[in-house]
Amino acid sequence: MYFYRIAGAAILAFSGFAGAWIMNSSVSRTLTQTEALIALMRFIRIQIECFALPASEIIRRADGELLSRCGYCGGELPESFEELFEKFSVRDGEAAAITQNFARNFGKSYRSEQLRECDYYIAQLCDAKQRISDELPKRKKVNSTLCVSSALALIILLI
Amino acid sequence: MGIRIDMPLKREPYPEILNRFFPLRLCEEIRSLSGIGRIEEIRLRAGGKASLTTDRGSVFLKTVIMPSELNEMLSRLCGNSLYAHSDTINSGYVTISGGIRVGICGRAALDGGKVLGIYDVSALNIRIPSVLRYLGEPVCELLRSTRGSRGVLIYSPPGVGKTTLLRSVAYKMASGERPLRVALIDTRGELYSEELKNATIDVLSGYPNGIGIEIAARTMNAQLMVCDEIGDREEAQAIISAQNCGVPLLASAHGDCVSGLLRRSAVMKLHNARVFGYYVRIERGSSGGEYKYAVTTAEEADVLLQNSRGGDIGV
Repeated sequence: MYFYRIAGAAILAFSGFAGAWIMNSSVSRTLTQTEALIALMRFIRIQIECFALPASEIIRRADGELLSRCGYCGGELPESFEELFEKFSVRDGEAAAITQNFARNFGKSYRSEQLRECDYYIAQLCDAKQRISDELPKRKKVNSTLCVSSALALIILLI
Repeated sequence: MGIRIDMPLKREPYPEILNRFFPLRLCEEIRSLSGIGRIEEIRLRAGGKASLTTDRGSVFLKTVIMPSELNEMLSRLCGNSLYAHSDTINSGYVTISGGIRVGICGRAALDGGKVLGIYDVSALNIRIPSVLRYLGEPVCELLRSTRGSRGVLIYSPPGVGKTTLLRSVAYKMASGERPLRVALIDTRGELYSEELKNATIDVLSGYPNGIGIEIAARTMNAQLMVCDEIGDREEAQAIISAQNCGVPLLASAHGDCVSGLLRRSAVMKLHNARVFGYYVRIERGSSGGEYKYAVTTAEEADVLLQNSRGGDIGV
């Protein structure tokens, strides 16, 4: 009986720490994804500025690893940025709205305007990334405290 | 001078690629038409009825295109990447896959006299290329008769079919039992057509005529060079410099008669340099599908120039 109590407490404690780790990883992935989206938009901007490539060609030339970090899971590459960003399933709500607006308005302007639009949306994403980065330690602390506290509470109640 | 006539043997189909860009109701109306002949142009106007130009004349459609639809259509024609076609849009056209050239009218944004972009598209003119394999044998014979020493200049008022004829002649000369190595200097991307793939044709797309001719002669070892719409004096000088390699040139220019044609400084420069051995005026017959040719040799053109007193001398 004593053995089962110890095992149960260990499992609950492990669950608490695992839960904290999973939640913190998710928050970190949000930051990583936002950074990758910024890198992708900078790549798009360079392709427009240097080569004036159309959207489908830019997507084809994008690095596969960069697309994976943005959330792309593989399969046939779409031909428009609207379809591409839909496949990313952007975690952060604000970043998702920024990328959707960018994709929706993409390709409707001439070169200098298009470059300015890219700069505008990159700046917005950078602000979003800064916000996520600033909130990251607090959220990690909250997640860890919540999970570990919940696990301890369950241990006390059940054991 | 001689007059020849070409008769049509078959019609070309409606290009399916355009279904990707047009509203469904427009596609359905065009498909429902019959007996209108070969479609050469599709004209769309903001707030107005669409129309077709065929080899038999103009046909007005019931479909009205909204201004927002025209802007959307231009965006789709550019692959949702308007910036990638800035240069050609500012020159008033976009070329899409298959050599289809789309003329654009709208409101120009200017900066110091230079067109920065076109907004509020008011009209699109979609010109459909075709390779009419029954066309051009008289021009081919003229090119063969010069034995490669001199070229041929085709001329007519706009819209008669010079580009179609150039394409057909290029195909004929680059196919058959003894095909020539033909270089197509396709400055505006409208000379080439998918149907030319099976011929010995090298395409220099987007090159100015002078630079394209030089590359075709020196690095592609062309036996015949084809270019559309001879432009200004600078271009003529570049063509003369490149032509010193001895490869004949088949080209086109706008004009109504030989003396009017030779009043243009660029053409006169080429005439004096004996780039062309023949000037061929083309006309469309009454049925639209047939072509009539009126040939003037360079020597006859010299005589016409000497006799001309400033008025037009017809064929």
